[in-house]
Amino acid sequence: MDWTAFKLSLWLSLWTTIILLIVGLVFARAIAWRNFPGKSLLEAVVALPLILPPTVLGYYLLTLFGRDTLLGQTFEDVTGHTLVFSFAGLLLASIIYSLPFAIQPMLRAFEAIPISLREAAWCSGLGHWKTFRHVEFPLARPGILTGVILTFAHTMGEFGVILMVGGNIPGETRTISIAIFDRTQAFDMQSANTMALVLLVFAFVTVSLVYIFNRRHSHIVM
Amino acid sequence: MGAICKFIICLFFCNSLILTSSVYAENIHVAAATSLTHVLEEIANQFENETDHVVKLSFSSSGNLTRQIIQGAPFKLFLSADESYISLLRKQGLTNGDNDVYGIGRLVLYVPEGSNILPSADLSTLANAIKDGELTRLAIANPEHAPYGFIAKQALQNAGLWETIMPYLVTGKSASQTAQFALSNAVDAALIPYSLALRPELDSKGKYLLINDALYSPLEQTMVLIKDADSAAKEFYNFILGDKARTIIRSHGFGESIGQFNQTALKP
Amino acid sequence: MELTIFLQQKTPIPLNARLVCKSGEVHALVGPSGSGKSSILRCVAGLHTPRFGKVHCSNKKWFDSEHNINIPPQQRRVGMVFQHFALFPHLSVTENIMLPLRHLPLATRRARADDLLERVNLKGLESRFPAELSGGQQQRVAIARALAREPAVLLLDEPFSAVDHVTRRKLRMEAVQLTRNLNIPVLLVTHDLDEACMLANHITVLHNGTTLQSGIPEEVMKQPTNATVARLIDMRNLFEGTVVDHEPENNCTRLEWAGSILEAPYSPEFSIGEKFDWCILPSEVLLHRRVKPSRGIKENPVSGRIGELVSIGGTTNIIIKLADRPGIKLYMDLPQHVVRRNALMPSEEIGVSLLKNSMHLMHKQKKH
Repeated sequence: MDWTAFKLSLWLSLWTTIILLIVGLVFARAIAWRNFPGKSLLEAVVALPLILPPTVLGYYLLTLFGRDTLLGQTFEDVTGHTLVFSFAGLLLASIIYSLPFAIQPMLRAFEAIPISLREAAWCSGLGHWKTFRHVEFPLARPGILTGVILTFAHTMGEFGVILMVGGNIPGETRTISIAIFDRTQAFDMQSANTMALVLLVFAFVTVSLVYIFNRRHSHIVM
Repeated sequence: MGAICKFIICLFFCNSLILTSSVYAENIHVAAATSLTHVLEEIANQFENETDHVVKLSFSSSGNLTRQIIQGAPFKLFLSADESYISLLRKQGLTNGDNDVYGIGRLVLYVPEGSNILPSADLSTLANAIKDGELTRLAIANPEHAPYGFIAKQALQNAGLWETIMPYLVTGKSASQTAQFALSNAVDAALIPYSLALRPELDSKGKYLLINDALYSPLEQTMVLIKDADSAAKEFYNFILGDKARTIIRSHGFGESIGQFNQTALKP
Repeated sequence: MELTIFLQQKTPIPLNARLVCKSGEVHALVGPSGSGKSSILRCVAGLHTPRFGKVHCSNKKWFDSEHNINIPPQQRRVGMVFQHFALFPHLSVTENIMLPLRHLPLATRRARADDLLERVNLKGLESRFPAELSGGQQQRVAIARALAREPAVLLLDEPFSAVDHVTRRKLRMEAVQLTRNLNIPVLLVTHDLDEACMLANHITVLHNGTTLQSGIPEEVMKQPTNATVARLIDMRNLFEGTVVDHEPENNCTRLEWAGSILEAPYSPEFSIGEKFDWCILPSEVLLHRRVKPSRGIKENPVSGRIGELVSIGGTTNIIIKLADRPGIKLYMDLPQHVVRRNALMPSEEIGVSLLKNSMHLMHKQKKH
């Protein structure tokens, strides 16, 4: 059982989820109630990682921040390490890869809020931030939570993109899904089995807990 | 807000340790061909027992590792399955110092239990199997980026089988994945490294024979230090060339010189 | 306090509205669907910004296109009751009412909310959620929430359209009591004329975004300014006539209509020979009783045949086809018992009088 790999997966999933929670909230709320030319195209671009095969995505990410790109060079100059084959590279790749998983449920949740509710909040004296906090966020919460869980679970299980962008460097880019594959390649089925089981149990327990928690706190019929 | 915050805080506590970026500074990152699975682990353990260093091994096909090194992967030492990839890296200016051959890589024809085919040193059983319609699939490593795949193709070409056997081929992305296929009974036969056939998992589950030297050129498995390798990496490099390591390597199926093999001592 | 509204725009909805609403006044905006009533309300609330105009609440300028002033809804102290109530589904009744009061300490908030709940007769329902309330209860919560902030203006957008008939009647009574006691301008939007007359002490008729006539209900309903307004207020007896001559000494103007000469109140502003529109309320058409004819039968007598008798509630609407012009329909409303006592039946001959002082003359509108 490669606990380092497990912890690495958790850390990656955690940071990806946090960043996408913020990015997702800002983005979803910004475009949910606006109609502008190109909105559909924007949504299609965001949805791309859903349909692209992971290897295609991995390939394009490499061309985006590989060593010989502007982004890659800048990162290397600043930190001394390459962006690819590093945790930072994995984080960037995961954020892009899980973008639609975070944004789409959040966007739908915000769109479902009738404008009359927001207007009622404004007429009650609530400014935009207070309206978000007391009306928009609570009503969108189930969708936001779905986005959070999907992002987390999706990142935990990522394989193809991570392998292409991160390689298989123990302690840095060998996440648990890569470790499982690595062990099967080394004919160590027992380790592979143990890790797979741990991942399964962890995923199931986490997701169940969150759904139970959410159910207890929601009684909304819109 | 509450549910999500609590969720995230729980996760933070589960993650409070490890994972700093100084991972690079203290450890020796080694890239190694998959034919070295276990061999190198044993050697690395010995090394770690004798010194303070920590060795981190990454196994993949030689071609893939070369690509990663070119793209900036933080490996300090590269044990390729052949010499060509080392030359490639040298031409790109990514190597440090001379390279050394650490072992000779040989090919076997491996058949898992339950397969209708028998191993043969001249691949004649394969030819017969095709004629009799007994062959469903043969696994070799991908000749494009795994040296063992390259020599498997060479052997098949020299045996005059390459054209006819192409529809039955399954390529693994590394030598060890090819051995995987054999182990999981997904194929009738596989051309894999001798070093992997010797592994207890494979040894006990099938039969194998070394392919004739006449049919292919055994691999001069070469290693090199990567540019900016530190003294720890150099230490490990020299350790691999030392007596203790050599004994281990030899006993795992990497004969030191080409003429060294006794065919009859092998398992028919 | 006085609410002054002047709005002008072409798109998205054409508006050309002018009205004034004083404190303590319940002002109804009436008009068919799409006439822009809700838009005007939304402009007052700050939910929509028109191209030109101004919305002033006493000395406070909420919107003034000339001076580039446009205060957001949060800062205008309006209380708005939405058509489908827009209650926050995730908050309890009390929490809904307390939300506009976030600037106050908790104890005060609760006390205020309890007080408001009592005023709208909803005591006991504090911890219910909107989904658990009936339509009428939801409406009351919406009103309480609108009043929570002690608004300078109360806006009601078709507040009774989303409830059933029986509840509507009850709620209207309560609303009358509630709104008459507030000392702020109350602007009510409705497409229901009866509701407007019942609740409001001032009504404005709207059509295609333009305010056509403003006044007390009795005045507007009896004396529309022109044929368009007359149609909008469902004036059934709307006819065309021609001035024959004026008799100032008899205080009358004689007009020609449907082959008869009628006497209308003296109206010198109409020239002789001028064609004009005129109307009379169906309740001001007098029946010539058969049993005991009264003195009034001499006033503008008209005869015809009964076309249809339709009874609604305790009133019967009678459609009379004129003897000389069967194509023209005259409407008369009578209490049911009168109809019975006079044994009125369809196809029977009938004589009626058009009360002179109830005839209202209107100039023809210029065609645009």
